[in-house]
Amino acid sequence: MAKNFTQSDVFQAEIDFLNEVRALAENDNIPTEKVKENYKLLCDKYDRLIGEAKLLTSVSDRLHAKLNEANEKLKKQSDEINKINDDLKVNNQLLQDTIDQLVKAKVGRKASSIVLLIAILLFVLSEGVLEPFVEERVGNEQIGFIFKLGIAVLLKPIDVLVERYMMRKALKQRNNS
Amino acid sequence: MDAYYLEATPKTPKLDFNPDAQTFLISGRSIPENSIEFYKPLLDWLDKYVQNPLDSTTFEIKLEYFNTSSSKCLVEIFRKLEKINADGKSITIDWYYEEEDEDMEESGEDFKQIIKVPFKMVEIKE
Repeated sequence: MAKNFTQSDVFQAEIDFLNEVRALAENDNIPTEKVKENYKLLCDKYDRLIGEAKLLTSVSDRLHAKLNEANEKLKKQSDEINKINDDLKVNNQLLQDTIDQLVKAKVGRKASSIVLLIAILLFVLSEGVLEPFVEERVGNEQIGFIFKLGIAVLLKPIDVLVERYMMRKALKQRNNS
Repeated sequence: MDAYYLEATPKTPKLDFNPDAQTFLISGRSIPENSIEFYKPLLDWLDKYVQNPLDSTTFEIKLEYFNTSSSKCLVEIFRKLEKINADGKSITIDWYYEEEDEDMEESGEDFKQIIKVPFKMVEIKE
């Protein structure tokens, strides 16, 4: 509604003139000379109005073309941005995978070191404390070999458990940061 | 007669109508929410000016962009200047446009065709 009001405002002078002429047309007592004079005036105004209508149409068409061009440009830029965004998502995923692999490798190395330390401790414990004690009690010298075999069998499960624990810790740390 | 001056905004042009300077200027962008409301005070000012204009007046239009209703208001402004010309005083409209701005050039040509005032097209070289 506000738009219509604005548009009618722009043509207020023409609307006023039209109302004036209409009022005159209703009057049957106007002298012929006056009618002729008003008719000429009306023709002049109409002529001007045609000129202005042509100009406004021309300006409007140009603006429309400009807007259309800007719109197409925006659409093209939007498509380009979307494409860049998709590429970024893919690159981001690749980067994340690489980071995960690096973390896994780092954790794996750390876990191996810890397992090695545990193995040494178990070996020392077995050789220095357990074996002499058990051999003395049982009197079987083969028992030492069974202990070492037990340590060797346990190494892999310990490695898996340590690595799993450290990986969980690393992921938790990454998510918190 | 007092000058009429309005500073430019992102949506409205600068209006500098100073009779002492003998040059009137409209420059910038003209896309007001309500064109007739914006230009009405200027049209009223021009009504007074055409009663007693200077012997020579130059009217410079340096618009970058204008909407359709502004172009109607420009026509109204030019129509008022036609009276100065008809009264035998010197009035010239200088329509400035950027070298590569074909739209503004064509708009100037359109105005030139319907306005009965000496209308000069001035290209601004970059």
